[in-house]
Amino acid sequence: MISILISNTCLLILFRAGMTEFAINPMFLNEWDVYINLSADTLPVYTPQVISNMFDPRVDGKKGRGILHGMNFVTASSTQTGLVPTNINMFPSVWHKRGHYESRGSFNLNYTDDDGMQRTEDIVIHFGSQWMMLTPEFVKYIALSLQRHDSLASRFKETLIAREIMMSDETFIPTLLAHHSRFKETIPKIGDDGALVPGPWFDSVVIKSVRYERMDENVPDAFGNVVHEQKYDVPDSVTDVDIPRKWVST
Amino acid sequence: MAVDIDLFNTFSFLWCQGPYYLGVYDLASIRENGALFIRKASRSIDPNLFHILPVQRSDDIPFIRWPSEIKISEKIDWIKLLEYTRRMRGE
Repeated sequence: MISILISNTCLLILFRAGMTEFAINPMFLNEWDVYINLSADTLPVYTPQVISNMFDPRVDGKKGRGILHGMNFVTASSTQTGLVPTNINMFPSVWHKRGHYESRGSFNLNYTDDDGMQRTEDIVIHFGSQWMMLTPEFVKYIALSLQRHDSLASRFKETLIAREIMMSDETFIPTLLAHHSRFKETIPKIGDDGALVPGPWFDSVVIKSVRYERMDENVPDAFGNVVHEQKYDVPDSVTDVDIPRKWVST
Repeated sequence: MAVDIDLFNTFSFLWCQGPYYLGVYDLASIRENGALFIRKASRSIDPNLFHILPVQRSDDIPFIRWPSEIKISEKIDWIKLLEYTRRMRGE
């Protein structure tokens, strides 16, 4: 079985503290195969062995590598574009998320890349989820980048702070992923049906998201999608089940 | 359905939507979704799910969902709601 590093803490905090340690300390480096960020209200659909097999880097005969090996997942089922991060430009212009990030102008940043080259990048915000599954290589890249003041990650962070724009891990990390020439290739490839294109060994597997959740309070979404499935009805006699409440904008 | 996002934002207080209680009737959606993990957004969860998950294969997940012809909760008529919000705005 491969090593899975599971956390239920905010990723950005982790990158400032513990995650950096796991990513670059020789004692931990190469000791884990995938980083999965979960929250306390998350349940596994599959057994640990099955999930482990999905990320297994070892080639197993005709099966090849694990179906999810080498991919960086930064979304959940409630993400507008399924398995891939949502480009901010896909949102309607009136959508609150788009308005917030565009309120202080574009993100045209000068930085030094991993090879020491001076570059300019027009950053396009991408939205995902904080419940991610990341490769060690990408985690290491972010951890090291944030330690270098002239990196894209640091310049991006500094600009957000200077403009007083809110940036959560569910946008910061997907945006970095989408802007790295190598790591953006690790974003899952999806077909017309929105499901993962898994490769020749796994043609019978259908994965439309890595994390299922119904967040009915957030519908209709930016694209006008609504939930048509029925909800449960809570009888008056029940006291330990949440009563659906009105959505309140914060 | 053509949706005026601005209308929905303006009158979003009109409908109750969450948090959504996770139950066995979600199993079909979970199976179709292919997700590795599920998340409950409410305080509690249908304990039957603990007896079914986790599984070895997606085929092991029972294909259970509410039949559409059965009314369990008040179904939202989105078209009607949209017309109502437009009337409220005098359009």
